[in-house]
Amino acid sequence: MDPYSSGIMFVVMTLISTWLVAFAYKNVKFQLKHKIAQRRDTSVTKEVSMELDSNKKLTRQEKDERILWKKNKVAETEAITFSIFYNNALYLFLILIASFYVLRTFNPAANYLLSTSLAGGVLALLSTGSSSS
Amino acid sequence: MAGLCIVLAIFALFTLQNTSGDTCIGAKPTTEIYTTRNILLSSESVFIVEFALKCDNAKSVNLYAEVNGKVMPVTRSTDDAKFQVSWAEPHKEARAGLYKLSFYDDEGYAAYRKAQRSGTVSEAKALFTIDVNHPGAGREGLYVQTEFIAVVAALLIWWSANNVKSKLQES
Repeated sequence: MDPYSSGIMFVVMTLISTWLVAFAYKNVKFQLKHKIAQRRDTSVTKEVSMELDSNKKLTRQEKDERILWKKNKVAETEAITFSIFYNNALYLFLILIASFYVLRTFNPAANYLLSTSLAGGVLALLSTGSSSS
Repeated sequence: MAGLCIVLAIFALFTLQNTSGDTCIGAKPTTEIYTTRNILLSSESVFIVEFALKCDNAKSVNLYAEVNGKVMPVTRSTDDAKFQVSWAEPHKEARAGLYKLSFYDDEGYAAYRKAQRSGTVSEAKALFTIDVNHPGAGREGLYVQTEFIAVVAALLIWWSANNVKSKLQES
């Protein structure tokens, strides 16, 4: 596995797995965002209300909009952060299992190709599969 | 015919002179020895003995090494400063312990072969000997493979992440 001679393979597989992992990030983020928004609802509302209490000029509707916007932002950040952590952990586990145990007897090039695509593929599949539940 | 005889005689004389000149008196080797220690990194146990030879008469010699009845030629560096002999055996056959290497020059090698044929190998006198202590090849370091630790660590991290995820989703 010389870096120069197999450079094309590295680049191609990196791009493919990047796309697959990004796909999984997005899916898991969507699954979690709504739940997180629900969980953070009361605390965000309280916090934003306290901030806006001094400002009497705002109407009720404007306050609600601000709360909603803040809630969205908090949930978005938390969901994407957790999604990255979760998927990275799973990807690491999958690639280690695949390359060291499942494909142990394969030659290095085949092992690399299969383990990266397998780990990326399974990751993407799992991220879509559990969205229905 | 006579001419051929003369040529042969000269040739014989030359070779005789050459061989008789290739002895090393009072040989003192200074050795560097390597033997395989790690069973996982090598498919066979390797023994490498490298040495510099100091003779009372500064002569270059051809050497043969004998270990456990196996005779090997000794390689010599181009500047005659170093000699090296190496051999490899399967891990199971390369038992731990002391290996006694006997070194012979051309003459001594011939004598050794003669003694071998007549079945009196023990009588063959070596020029000098080197003792190689092979501690035996085994597993070094951790008993568990590193990749196993990595997999277990990754599994634990993912498991905890999955716990958090399911807790988030259940409500």
